[in-house]
Amino acid sequence: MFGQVNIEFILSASVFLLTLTFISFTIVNIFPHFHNEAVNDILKAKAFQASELLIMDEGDWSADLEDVKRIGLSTGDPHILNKSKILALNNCNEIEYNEIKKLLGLTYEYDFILNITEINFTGSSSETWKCKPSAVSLITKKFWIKRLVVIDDGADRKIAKLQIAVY
Amino acid sequence: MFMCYSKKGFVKILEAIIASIILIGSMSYFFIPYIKSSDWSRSNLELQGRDALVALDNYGYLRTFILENNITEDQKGLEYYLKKMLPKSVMFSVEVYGLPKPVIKLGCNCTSAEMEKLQKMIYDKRIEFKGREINFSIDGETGLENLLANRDIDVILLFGYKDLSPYKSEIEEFLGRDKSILVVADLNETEVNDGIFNETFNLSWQVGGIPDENNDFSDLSDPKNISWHISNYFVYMPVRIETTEDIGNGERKGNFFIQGIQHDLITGYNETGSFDYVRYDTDTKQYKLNEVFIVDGWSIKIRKIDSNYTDDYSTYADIGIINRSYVFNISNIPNKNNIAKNEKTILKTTNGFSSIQSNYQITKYGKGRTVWLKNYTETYSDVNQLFKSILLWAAGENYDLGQIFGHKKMRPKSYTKVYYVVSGNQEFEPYIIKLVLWHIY
Repeated sequence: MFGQVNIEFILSASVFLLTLTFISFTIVNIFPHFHNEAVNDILKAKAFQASELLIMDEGDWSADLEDVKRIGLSTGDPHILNKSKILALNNCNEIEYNEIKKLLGLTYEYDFILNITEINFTGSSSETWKCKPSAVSLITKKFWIKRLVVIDDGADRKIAKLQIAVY
Repeated sequence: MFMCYSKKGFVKILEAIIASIILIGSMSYFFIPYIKSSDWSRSNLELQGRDALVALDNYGYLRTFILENNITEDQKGLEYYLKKMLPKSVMFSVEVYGLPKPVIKLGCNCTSAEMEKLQKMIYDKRIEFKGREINFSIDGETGLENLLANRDIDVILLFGYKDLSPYKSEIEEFLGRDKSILVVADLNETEVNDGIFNETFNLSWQVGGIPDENNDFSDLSDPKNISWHISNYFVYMPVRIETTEDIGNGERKGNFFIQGIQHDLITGYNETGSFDYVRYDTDTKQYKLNEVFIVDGWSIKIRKIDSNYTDDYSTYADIGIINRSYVFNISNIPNKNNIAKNEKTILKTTNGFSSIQSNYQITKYGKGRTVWLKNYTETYSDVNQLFKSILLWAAGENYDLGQIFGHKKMRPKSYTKVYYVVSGNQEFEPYIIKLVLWHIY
């Protein structure tokens, strides 16, 4: 009396199916790498785009931050930032933060931190201006981009670091 | 019968194994995630380098650092600022293209009499050229072989004809390092056609005719021409006229030359107006700094005056001819210097011979510069003004600050370059700053 399926068939089918399963799992496991890389690239692009917008564009400003149409901090000359615009962003509140986020072209799923620090060439203390959300996640991966700019307050010019993180 | 089934089953397992191997083999490409690098690290470094140069330029320091040769960390110059601006893990080197070198090192293959002549031709080794300080240093090494092997020397000077055939390969190597050779000599036909002079100095003998003693810039119609380029240096180049003779009334007298004719130059101090002045010949008018006086139709600008004898027992005026169309008087020796004019001629006689001939992009990699100059009287201040202008060009118009920083030797194979064009300055033509950056680890 023979069985319905012989043992050799079961063995060969098992080998084949095991192989197929191995390949499927291996390929499926690769996708997170690609996704992670794509997310990183998007963060880099968004941070770069935001930094370019801030340092290259003069923006379209009004006295009230809520009425600003374009966020550019430049005086009109690329890489030279207007100090009064920086002061307007400094220590932004939640409403202002969300407004700036929108103006930087960042959608709701992204957040940003903006730090502008004078570079001290002489040894005296440096001024820093910040705009960040009220709560900053410490575990979320952030991508920082550092740019070098000149701050113009009308009478004097100073070199500063503009750092922006998007996450 | 059982054996037959058994073998059939074995073959099925074997088939399954082979199919698995083929499947794994063919799909193996997808097992390792192949992610093409976005090269962000390099781009970010390039971005920071460019930002640093732009910020320094907007801050108003970059041009000053380059033009005043304020480079090192100790001087709180370019290196100091770049170090503060760039991450600590980044090293850098800076090269400048399109500007005369701040220090021009000359090597003279000459006798003591020729060395004396060269000293007179250069006279003031520290010049102020378009607001920049340029220094000439002369190496006393006499052996041509040693000069050709010296990596620090920018220009080798030769006086008179010399058989260069024993040094052919060394000359090629020297020019291949983008260095220059300048020869001041009156040449006959045999010397021109010796196989080295004609090739290296771009000379060809023109049969018939006698070169005239009046010379002007070869072709000023196009700024791309070498003669236009040298003429542009010429009109900004100062020559120092020492006023050594006390002629009373606090005035001292020296001499300058216009077209081979000697003129008096007098320096003094106007007590009433509190200014240094220059007078010439019998003209009683007192010309102040930056004013122009006209001698025989040629405009001469006063670039610096020192009329105070008591501080260093020296008085002088730095003057310069500012006419591009200036006609030089350089007399010719019979049967010599019948050099044909071509597109690389700097100065030509009014009857079409070359008096100063350049050659450039000599080696197969387009390096090296040479100049042949007809011999002239070394006291001729007008020709000395031209000679110094030629030296600026011959020394090469790019230099590496990495050697000053001492970083160049550390440069790895993989580095990032940033080019920044500095333009809009009225005094200088546009020039390029190349910043080379690399990570220490």
